[in-house]
Amino acid sequence: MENAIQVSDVVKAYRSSAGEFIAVDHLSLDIAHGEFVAVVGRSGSGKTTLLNLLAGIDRPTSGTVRVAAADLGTLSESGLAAWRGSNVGLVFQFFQLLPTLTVIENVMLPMDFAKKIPIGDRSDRAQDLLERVGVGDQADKVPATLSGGQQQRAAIARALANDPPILLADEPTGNLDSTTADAVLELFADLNADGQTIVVVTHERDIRSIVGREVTLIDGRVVTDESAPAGAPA
Amino acid sequence: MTSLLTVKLGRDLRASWSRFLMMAIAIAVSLTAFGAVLFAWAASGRATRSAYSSTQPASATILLDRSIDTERMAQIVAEVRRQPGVVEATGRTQFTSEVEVNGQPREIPLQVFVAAPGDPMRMAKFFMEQRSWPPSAGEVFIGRDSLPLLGVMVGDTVTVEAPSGERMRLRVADSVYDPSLSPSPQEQTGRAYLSTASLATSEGRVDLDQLKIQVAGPGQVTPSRDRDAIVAVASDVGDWLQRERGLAIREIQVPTPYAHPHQWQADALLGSLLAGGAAALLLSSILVATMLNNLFTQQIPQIGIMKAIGARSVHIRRLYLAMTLLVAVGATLLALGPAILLGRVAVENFLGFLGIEPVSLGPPWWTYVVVLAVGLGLPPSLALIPVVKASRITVRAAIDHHGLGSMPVAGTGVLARLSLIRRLDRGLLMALRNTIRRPARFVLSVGLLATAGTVFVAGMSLSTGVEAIAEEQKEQRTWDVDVQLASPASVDRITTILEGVPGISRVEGFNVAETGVAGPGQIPVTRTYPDQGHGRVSVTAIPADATMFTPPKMLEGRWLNPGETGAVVLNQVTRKNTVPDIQAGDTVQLIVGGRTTTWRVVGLAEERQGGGGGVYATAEGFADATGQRPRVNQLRIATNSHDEQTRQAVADAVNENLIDARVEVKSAASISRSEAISEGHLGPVILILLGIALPLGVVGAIGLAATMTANILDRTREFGVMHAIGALPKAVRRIVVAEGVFLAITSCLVAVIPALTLTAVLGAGLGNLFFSAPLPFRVSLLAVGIWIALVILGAVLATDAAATRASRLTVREALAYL
Repeated sequence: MENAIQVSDVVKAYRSSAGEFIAVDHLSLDIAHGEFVAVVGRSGSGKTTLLNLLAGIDRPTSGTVRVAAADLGTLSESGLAAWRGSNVGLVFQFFQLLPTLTVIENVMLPMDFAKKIPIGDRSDRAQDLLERVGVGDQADKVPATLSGGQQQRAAIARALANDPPILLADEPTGNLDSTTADAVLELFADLNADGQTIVVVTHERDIRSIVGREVTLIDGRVVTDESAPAGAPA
Repeated sequence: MTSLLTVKLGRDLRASWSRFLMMAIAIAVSLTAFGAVLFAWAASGRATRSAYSSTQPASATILLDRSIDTERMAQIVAEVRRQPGVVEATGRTQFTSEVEVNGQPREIPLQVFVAAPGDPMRMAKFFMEQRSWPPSAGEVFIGRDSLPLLGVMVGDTVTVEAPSGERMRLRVADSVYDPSLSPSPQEQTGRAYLSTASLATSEGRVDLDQLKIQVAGPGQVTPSRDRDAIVAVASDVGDWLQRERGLAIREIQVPTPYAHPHQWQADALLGSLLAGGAAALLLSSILVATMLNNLFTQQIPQIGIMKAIGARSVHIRRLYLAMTLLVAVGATLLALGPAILLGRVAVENFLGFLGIEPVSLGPPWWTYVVVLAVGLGLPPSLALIPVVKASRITVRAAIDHHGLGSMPVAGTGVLARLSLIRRLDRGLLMALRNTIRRPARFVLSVGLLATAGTVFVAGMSLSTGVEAIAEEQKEQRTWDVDVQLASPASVDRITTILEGVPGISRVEGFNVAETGVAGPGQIPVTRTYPDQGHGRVSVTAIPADATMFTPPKMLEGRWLNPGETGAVVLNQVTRKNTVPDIQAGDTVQLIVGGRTTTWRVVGLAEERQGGGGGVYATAEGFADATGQRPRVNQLRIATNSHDEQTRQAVADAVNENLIDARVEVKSAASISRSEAISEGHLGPVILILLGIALPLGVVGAIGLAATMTANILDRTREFGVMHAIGALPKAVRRIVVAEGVFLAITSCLVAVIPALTLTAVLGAGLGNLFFSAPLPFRVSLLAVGIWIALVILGAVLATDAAATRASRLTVREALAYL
């Protein structure tokens, strides 16, 4: 069976006035279905770039990225958008909920875009997802009235809207206090326990206790790729 | 568009309602102006064409040098009807007289139109309100708009002097609507309609001197619209009359076919207004496109998120196009009512200006289609580029978007050096740099404001230019009383008669004689209308010692030398209308009092409205050509004190003294009447020019407010950072307001050269259109002052609300801003 994610000899270089900057340097990485992987490293190590490559937000300078059975390099911007809507759930550090939609509407919006879920089922599914992440009672509020933790839970619910096989999270706890961050990580663990493939980019040192695998980057290269003791592939 | 995007659209509109309202107002204001003018133009054009055509105006009027009796005229008419190209003909005459109403003299002269009782009234018609043609002997019909001007009512008695010199008492039997003439109040002339039966002298003889014809193309019965064809047929008829019937022709009058005497003015005015409205509309649409672009820029993070969760470009494009369309729909709905209302008011005013009663004030259906198409189509069309740009943004670009101008621009380097100046306020320096952080927005905002300022100042400056003409004319009118004599008299005799009149400081006499101008061997052809005023040419004989005449500006050649004979100067209007190819040094013929005289054109002069009759000769030259001693029929009298009371008293006294001395007086009136006529013609022009400037001012002010709001929204995070590092709300506010003021000042500086250029270009265009000469170049300092004050005050007010909002943002709010 094909891995959920296959990154083969990928280079991502940025050009700037100071010259060329290699963010990801000949990186290869395979992630199997159901894995819970943490990508760690210092600032500038290339972990967010790697996540953006996996989400089709960035395109590699060279090498191939296959995610959910799609070669992202062959897809157009519009094709990537459609692919993302069905195959990837994204969670951001600053939650990034749309401010003028209510929480439940934010969760339903990806369903409208992807059209995978029948119209009549979308509201119930969104409510179920919000219940699952623990903010069902906040469904009809606008994001600005929620706490940071609640907003991040809502953002996770939105990421799960179309039941994507892969969840990608960029510093999902970076803007939360430690108690709330723990709760969010617990939520990820629960999702992974239900079979969700998850890749988390994080600074958190103690994430090893939750994830199944920890990939450490330095200067855009994988320096360690270890299975964590507490984590296990589904 | 998905239902949730519809929800988002609704909430985005609600969240930024003030910006959307500004956009809608900007478009609505200019669409109102554009729509109102279009409605007015279409409706008034339709009414004017219909009313003027209903009079079946003559294609040409052939003026006989000597009148002929009605029987002979009837024979001639019958023969002329058989001439090739002539489909209708009739004989008429007209004269101007002083008038008394119930024995009380009036200052206003009366222009009397005369037709035979048996005139079939198939052409050059007018419409009686109660009666039908002809009035009985001893009766007169008065033009409806002349009734209040003369202070006369149906049933009153008026006394007029017939061309024979006989005074006739006539009962006003009915009023007449004559849409072929310009309104009486504008011309300060009453109109009356008589049958020859009322004019018959004691010998029973009435003479007619106008042969009116309608000309049609071969095989056609509808009068021709081709003036050249009309001139050709009328000239053939004139030649035939001279050759076969031995009648001398003084002039052939061919006004523009199917065009009311004031039609071109109305068209020019409405055309100028429509152009102004269209310019305002275009500017407001650009403004809206800019504002939407700002809004899209602000929404880039949201677009990024939507794309990250599966939205495609088409979703985003539909969302923002719908947003633009909603603004356009709102603006169009806002504008439609006021445009219709203003259009109706404008139609009424314009038709009043033309002396035409509207059958309907409603505009034609196609004008609604145009307004709706423009209102609904223009903003989305102009917003298409920013919409497509926003919809195509990638998630990566959206993530990288950090608000206002994070990348340095070229100007920043220059401005960075300003920090080397000691004691320069750091807040002001920051404001200055911020204004150019987004060069495209800076250029658009400054461009928009500068354009509005340019048009505002140019519009007001043109008004000043128009007013300058009136002032110029007023300055040149160094006399107080105009006297017109029925026939020329010796200047010495007149001076002697008036010697005893108190209040007079100086009297000067001129001889003004109607004339026809033509090339050698040709019949003079003019564009004179039936009122004998519009397009009329006359030669003014100027005495050598004249002080109450200012020689006009020369375009070519020179002015007349004192006592020069055989030399004339033509103004540019007369040249254009009669002998367009003539140049200084060429020879022309003037037909004066039945004599064909030959003259050398020594110069071509430029005169704006209110100039003389268009041809100038010296008194000696005129006497020499006509074979008479120098005589005068127009007096210019200066009074000791130039107040209206003295003017009136002197006019009355002069009238009495001349009548007592058996000198027939056509009119003796204060020059206030001439000024009233001048104002009647210039007033609407000034109003129109201001009408163009004001909507643009409103659009410009909204543009400034919109730009500043966008700038602040873009930099919300930046303000949060400033607060975080200790900036007081007051400091943030000061920076923001200073940015607005910098922007306003820059726009004023940018507008200087375009404003001067536009004033000169429009002054030449409008001046040539209205006055046959460029307007005097005047820059309205008042307009400059008003605009600078308005734009700076507007900048302060427009930025204050946004600045206050920015200054109150908490650090957390600012940093969490999406």
